[in-house]
Amino acid sequence: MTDVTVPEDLWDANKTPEGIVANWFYSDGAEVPEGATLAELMVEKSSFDIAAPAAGTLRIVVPKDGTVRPGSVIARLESG
Amino acid sequence: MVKGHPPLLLKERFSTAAAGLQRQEQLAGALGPERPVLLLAWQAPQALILGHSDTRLPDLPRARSALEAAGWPLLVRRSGGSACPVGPGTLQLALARVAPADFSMDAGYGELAGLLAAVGASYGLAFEVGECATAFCPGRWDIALAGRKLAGLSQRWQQRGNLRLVTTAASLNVSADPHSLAACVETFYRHADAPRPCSPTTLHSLAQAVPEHQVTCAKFLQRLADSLAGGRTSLPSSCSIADQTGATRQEIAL
Repeated sequence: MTDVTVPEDLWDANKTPEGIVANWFYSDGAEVPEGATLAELMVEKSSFDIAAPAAGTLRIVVPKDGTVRPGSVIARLESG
Repeated sequence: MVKGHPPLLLKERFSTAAAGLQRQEQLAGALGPERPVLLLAWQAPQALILGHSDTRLPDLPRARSALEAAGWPLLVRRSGGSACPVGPGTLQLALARVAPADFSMDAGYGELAGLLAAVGASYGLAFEVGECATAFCPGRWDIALAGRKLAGLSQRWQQRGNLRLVTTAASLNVSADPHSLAACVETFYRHADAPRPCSPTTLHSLAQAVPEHQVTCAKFLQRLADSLAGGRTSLPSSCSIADQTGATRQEIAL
């Protein structure tokens, strides 16, 4: 199992507490290859593409429009 | 700062804003170890570029019809924010770079804001950074004069393998009429059944701020190149310029 996380240092949570998951590009349960763009976050006027850190079966933790903070786990990738 | 890797300043003009936006959104794809920073400046005929959230407005089709009939085609960008009009009097800038491990969103915004501030200083202007809440497409990295919005910044991060690529974009009002821009945005939201007032008094242009300079996009870009050449920004002190279409690249000794 590999966590898909929002990078810890991506933004200053003291200035902007939260972002949102603007899009998921794969459905829950989809098989995704390593490096695939899984989701797009929106933080104020910044968008951030989240890539799959490993291949596996996608298990979405934070749905579309759900809120995230730096370090949030937004999904998990099940291997095998 | 990226040391030892001078950025390319690419000056390009497009026959449609859609082509320019596509170029901007693909800019980071040209980054690599030999070219870790690219600065694109582009111009195109008028269009209204929407943010992702605008695509969910109640009556987007009606707004699209109204704006297109008025000569403002609608586009949607991948970076954040809301509707932003572009056109011949506005200049679109995009700074694409490979992001080091500890590089933050604010660091990216700060780089491009610094470039713009350096050019503003050459006109004797001190740009302000901070949200212009009543202007269109407000954001924490708005650039203003006397509280009136002059430029808005947005950003897109992508991953390519182990590389993190960030493109920070600015839409700068060089000489466009604030009344025209405000009317475009207000018309869009009214027809989209999500009215939000947009007063021209919340907007500014460089040409208005320093009328004695008769600022044009071309003149602004020359000052930007001069500023880079003179090391008055946080970016490397040399660059080369590709003129207009990008097809003929003119290397300029700086």
